[in-house]
Amino acid sequence: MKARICLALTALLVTGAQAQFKLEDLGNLTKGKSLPAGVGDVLGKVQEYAGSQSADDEVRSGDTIAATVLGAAPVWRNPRVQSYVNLVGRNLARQVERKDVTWRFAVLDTPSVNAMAFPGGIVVVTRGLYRLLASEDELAAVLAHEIAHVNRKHQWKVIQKQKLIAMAGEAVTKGNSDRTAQVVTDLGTKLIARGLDKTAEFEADRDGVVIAARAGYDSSALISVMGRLKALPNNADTSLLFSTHPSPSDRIEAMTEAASAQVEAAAVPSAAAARIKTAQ
Amino acid sequence: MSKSAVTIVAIALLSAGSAVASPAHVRVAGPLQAQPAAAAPATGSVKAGALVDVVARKGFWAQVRGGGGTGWLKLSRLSLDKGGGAGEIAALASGRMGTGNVVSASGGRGLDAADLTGATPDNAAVAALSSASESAAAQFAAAGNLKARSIAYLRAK
Repeated sequence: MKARICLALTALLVTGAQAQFKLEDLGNLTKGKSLPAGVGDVLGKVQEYAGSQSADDEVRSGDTIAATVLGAAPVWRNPRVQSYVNLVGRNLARQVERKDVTWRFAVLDTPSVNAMAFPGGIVVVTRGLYRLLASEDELAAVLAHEIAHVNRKHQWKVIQKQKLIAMAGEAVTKGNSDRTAQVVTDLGTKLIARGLDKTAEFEADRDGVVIAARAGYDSSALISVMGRLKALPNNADTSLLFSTHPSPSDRIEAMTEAASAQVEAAAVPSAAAARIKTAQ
Repeated sequence: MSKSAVTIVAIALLSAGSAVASPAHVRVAGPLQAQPAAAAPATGSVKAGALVDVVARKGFWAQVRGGGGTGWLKLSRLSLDKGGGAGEIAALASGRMGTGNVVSASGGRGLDAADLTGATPDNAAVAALSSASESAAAQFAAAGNLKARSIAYLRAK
């Protein structure tokens, strides 16, 4: 089966799909009538494969990708903040469906303003972003967005799909697990630099709003965070964040339009809002 | 106005909180409500393109003055990309300023795309990451008087 997937993918790549190949696009193509019979089946198998990888694989790969980021920006030596962020994050993670990941949260010692999630449950916030946050509700809003990415396997699915494509282009890969691991790490690092597609970011915003509200936080705190991001200049500290996400204005608009009555009713500062002041 | 001047104005407005009125253009015409809730009675209406003063923000709603009255509308009905720029931001980031400075002047290594490409993986740092147990997290939530509630996921609109 694997060989058939590789062959089919190679054929598709050769017949015109470009480097920016997206499986969703092919899925849409199969709704047309011009594709040869069987291609849809193969694509279905590819989707299945991407979803079937074990959580162990996911944690192992995510950790390797995170190691590159931690090599670029170390963990902030502030045990009180690290412990506080872990408690806020772990409590939020109780509100999502996935229970097969190893949640770890950290603040990185860099003035850059950003937050990232890695497959398998590592979530990082930069010191630059942490210092902008005015309440525990705002911290929860940021962490919940990242937890949503892991819960939906946003990064992991992209990496799995791209891995199959990358492997299809290589002559000898079968049984070479070191090579496979290297390909996954490279793809993961590139994905961090390039970002997910906007659909995934908007989905993580909507999910994040709900996850934070489920835990008892202000459902509109992510809008406050967007207000703060909107005030930042586009410079070396913000370029990666701004280039990998829709604009704060577009995100505010999308969240506001999607908000349900239930979510709107939860747009009230939490009792724990000021607790962030105790962890600086 | 230069970018840095805009930033300084933005910081000043943010620091002053939501008491500062700021101009914004209406993107979607419709009613102004008496309270920040769709079911609240209408106090007036605004046309698309109208210039209003944003006087407050509450949750997903903005209180505006203009078009012959004062009332609340959903944030998505305002044009946030155009208009005053610095002005409307004051109304979006409610509450006190962040714990640090908006324009980060603190040192340390950056984290942009180029920094990632050249980085040497630090596996030991990953292995040393701390985590919290589920029971510790539950205790932490209780100490903060955070009560879990059931809320359904949102669909894109």
